[in-house]
Amino acid sequence: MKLTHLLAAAGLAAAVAAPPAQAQAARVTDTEIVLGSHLDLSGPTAAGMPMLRNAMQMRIDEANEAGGVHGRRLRLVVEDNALQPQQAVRAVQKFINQDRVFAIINSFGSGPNAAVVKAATDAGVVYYAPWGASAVFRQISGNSPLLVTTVQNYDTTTATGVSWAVKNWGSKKVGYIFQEGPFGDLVRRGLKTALDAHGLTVAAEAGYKPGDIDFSSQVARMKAAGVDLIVAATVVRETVGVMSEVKKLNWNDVKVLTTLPGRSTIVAVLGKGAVEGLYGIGGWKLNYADSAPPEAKKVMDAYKRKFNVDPDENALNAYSYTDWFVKGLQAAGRNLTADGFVKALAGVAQEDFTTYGRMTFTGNHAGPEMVEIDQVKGGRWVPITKPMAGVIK
Amino acid sequence: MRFAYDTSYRESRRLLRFASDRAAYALLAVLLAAAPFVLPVFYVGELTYLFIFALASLGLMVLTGYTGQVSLGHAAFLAIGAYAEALLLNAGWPLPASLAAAAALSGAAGLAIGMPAIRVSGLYLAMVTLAFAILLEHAVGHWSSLTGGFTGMAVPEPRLAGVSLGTPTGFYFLCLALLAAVLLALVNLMRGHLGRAFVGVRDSEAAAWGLGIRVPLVKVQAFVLSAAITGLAGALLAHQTKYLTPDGFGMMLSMQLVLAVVIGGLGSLRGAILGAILIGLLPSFISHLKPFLPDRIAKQFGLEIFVFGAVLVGFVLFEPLGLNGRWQKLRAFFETFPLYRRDTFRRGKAYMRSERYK
Repeated sequence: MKLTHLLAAAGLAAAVAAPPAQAQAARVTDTEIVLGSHLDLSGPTAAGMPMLRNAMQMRIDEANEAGGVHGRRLRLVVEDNALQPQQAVRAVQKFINQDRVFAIINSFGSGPNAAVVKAATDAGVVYYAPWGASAVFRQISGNSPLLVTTVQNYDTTTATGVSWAVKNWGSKKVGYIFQEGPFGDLVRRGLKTALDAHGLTVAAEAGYKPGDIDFSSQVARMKAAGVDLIVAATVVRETVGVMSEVKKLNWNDVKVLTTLPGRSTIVAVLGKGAVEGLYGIGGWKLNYADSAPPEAKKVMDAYKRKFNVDPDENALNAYSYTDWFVKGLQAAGRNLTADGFVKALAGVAQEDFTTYGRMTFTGNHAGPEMVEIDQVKGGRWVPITKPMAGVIK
Repeated sequence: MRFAYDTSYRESRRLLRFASDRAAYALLAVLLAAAPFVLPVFYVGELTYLFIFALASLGLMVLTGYTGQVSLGHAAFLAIGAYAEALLLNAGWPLPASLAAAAALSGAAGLAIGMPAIRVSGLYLAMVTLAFAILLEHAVGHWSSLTGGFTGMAVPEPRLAGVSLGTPTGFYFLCLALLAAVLLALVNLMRGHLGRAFVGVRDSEAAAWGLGIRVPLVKVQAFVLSAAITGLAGALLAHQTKYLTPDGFGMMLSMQLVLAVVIGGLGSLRGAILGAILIGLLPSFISHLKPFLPDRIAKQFGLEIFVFGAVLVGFVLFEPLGLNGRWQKLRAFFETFPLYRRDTFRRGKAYMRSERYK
């Protein structure tokens, strides 16, 4: 035992004394570019993940069928993060050390992305389009030049949408129903910006926890405060819950405005009559099978043929983000490095069936952050404004 | 078969009594010491994670496996240890002090929750610990000024005497050293007075009282010890994750710990480690298995949870003594071959009836 202790101690000393042997070899081979993505395959949001994975895979297959990018084939590796930071750390360690990925793209979840973004960019890996609170990731990464975000910020988009609503509807008392957590905090920040611009304050606030199914107390608090506009930082089921409660009270002289993820096709479909008349702040275009423009239709049909299900809006967004990424790779040329790629990507604009206009990167974040106000009419979202940006006075 | 032939009283008190044991553990120590220099860096990271998980699992084993107190909220102690470590390092404490303080703070939390919790047992204790974990998760989320709220906080790099332990190899040895130290301490503690009192309380509270063991005191001691060890694991987990958010310490983590100790084999330290290895590796194993499964099954969401459940049910039905029990049987089979008798491991527990005094 003595000897082994000695050996272990010697090993420890050697390990501590040795300089970190992390010579950064090139992350791209002559024939292949490996991309990683960690998604929630086994956690609470697992049901939505196949859409993201399939859409990414589809765009990558298309690129490979077209002969790859500058002679290199793309390969996507998907790992499970179970929406747990620890699992995300393990997945990203695998990406960095085992798969030797060039970039990590379209990874899902605020907690998981927050836990790994710094480690990934520090290792010289491009971190592209994490799904979650973009501004938070940027802060955590120490404003890394290798982090590229495409998902709109909750605060700025809310500021635009709410300021438009207050101006055009003449709202006097604004109430706020929100999900506790970073999502609700960020939306509140945007709400404050918008209300400050119009000399208003939040008249009433009511939070809920993820997983709550009853919203009667929150809506009752709004009613007691006599608000004429409810801003709802809600996701799918909660948006429907809040709106049904408003309908149940026969409360007709109030407008309900839901923020980014609440304005999704699934809300209009699930909510049926209950969400009729609901307003939403939209950050990307929605495509319906019968009214989609031809280029959207082409992608949607190809997706359906390949995976035998209709793509949802997340699939189309993931496709669009991946498309933008592939265009960036093409622009970066054969001599591919992480820094060179990000620089090249900054010169590539994206305008397709999901964006509200021509998008470019400023400071590695996609912009301008355009939003439009939609309303549910006959079970689908109908735009009632043109796309706009900034605080509207 | 081996027989102990002791020539002095000291020999019977040795941890490793046989030369073969000593050789096996020496080999293990050499292998573990050599691993980070031989293995690719990814596997070093995985091993480090297993060490941390095994440490947390040892913590729960003291409480659940030895003292018989269920806890469904051990993720809370991991959270306390992790946040304490990050906050203290930010405040400029040196690493050894912050690790010790993280364990101590977590132990203090164990004392605070243990005092009321020992008044209930079984299902009710499970509920109390569960409620504690949920409360703590919310407290961490809402106390933004201290913990960074749901946005989270970064964990400083571990440094010891000016040398960074943040490299995969350095951190590997830090975790290995702490795991070995805790394991050694527990092995000794568990065969001493306190450990035997734990087992006494687990097997029969009435009998324990009868033997002069102060049952409530022993239970609280188990809570504190368990929480402190788990808190230490939490401090290491903070360095492994490098960024803390409250959603990293949810129900799922508590459940994984419970699974690890039950599958490993209640009432054995080796079981805690074997269970942690199995549960810690299961997600990776499933992800490696996926390419070989039919597409329809591989792409089914919730596959991991299903496998977790199936493994647990399998063990409860076919091997209630867990991995450690299976290990002992295998060992006995080879040692006594061809004279192995299955009934060797049948356990009579008739004295449990004395519990009926309630």
